[in-house]
Amino acid sequence: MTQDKLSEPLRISLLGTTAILFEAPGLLDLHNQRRIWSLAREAETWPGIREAIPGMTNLMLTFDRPPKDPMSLDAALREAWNAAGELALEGKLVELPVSYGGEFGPHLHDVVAYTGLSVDEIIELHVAPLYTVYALGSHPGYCYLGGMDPKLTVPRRKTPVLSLPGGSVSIGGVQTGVSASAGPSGWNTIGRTAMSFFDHERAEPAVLAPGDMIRFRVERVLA
Amino acid sequence: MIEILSSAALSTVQDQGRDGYLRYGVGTSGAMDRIALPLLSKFPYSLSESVFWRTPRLP
Repeated sequence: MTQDKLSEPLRISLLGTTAILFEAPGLLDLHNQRRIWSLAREAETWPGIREAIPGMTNLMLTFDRPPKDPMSLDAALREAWNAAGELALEGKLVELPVSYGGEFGPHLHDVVAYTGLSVDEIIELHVAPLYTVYALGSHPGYCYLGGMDPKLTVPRRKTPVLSLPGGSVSIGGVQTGVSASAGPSGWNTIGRTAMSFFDHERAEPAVLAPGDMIRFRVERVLA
Repeated sequence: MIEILSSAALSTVQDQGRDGYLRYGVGTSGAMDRIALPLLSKFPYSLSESVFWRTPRLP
């Protein structure tokens, strides 16, 4: 079973000819993520960079066109990372009522089995933190969240579920999240909420942005 | 607006994709080979300069 590593080395790698990926050294925590936000703001001003996209303690830069010497960005990224302070983005707070278990959380009992915690303990631990949106990705409007209690760490499923509805609240490794639309998932779904995360009609189509916060609230618990 | 009247297995319609929305979780998508795409539009069954109708040859 794969487990998210808690501490990673610095890595820079090319993604084909159109992008480069910077993976920050150290922990998956808010300090590191704030430096990623800072690095993104800096790097998106560099010539030839089309978009700077924060991920979970990583940053992807896409190019306007394939650069002749893409690895020249290697030194620039390392230097900018060393200089990057913590950019404390603080956005809006969204409270999401969650129906835990039953048909809404088909894998809640797998989380019970893996962690050894009771359903009540799992829910209590899951609603306790104020989660921070670290980054968007995966599918339109989806938010990668930081702040889950490590006691709820559960490996991704060996066999992904082919389709889960939007609003599925799930745990994958050390992370938790809410799917923004229906789709396949390898995470463990423990509940469901109703929240629209993406509206293509809006100039800013994603409802949430890095630095926004989510708090889960227990709406009901099904057996 | 494109109306699909009938379709063979695994047919796809490919455009140039969309840039600049990765930060919202929107993939670039579109044709994998963006250099070849405009050339393909010279062939039959293409819809325009930037959209290509692809029907794969089945094994």
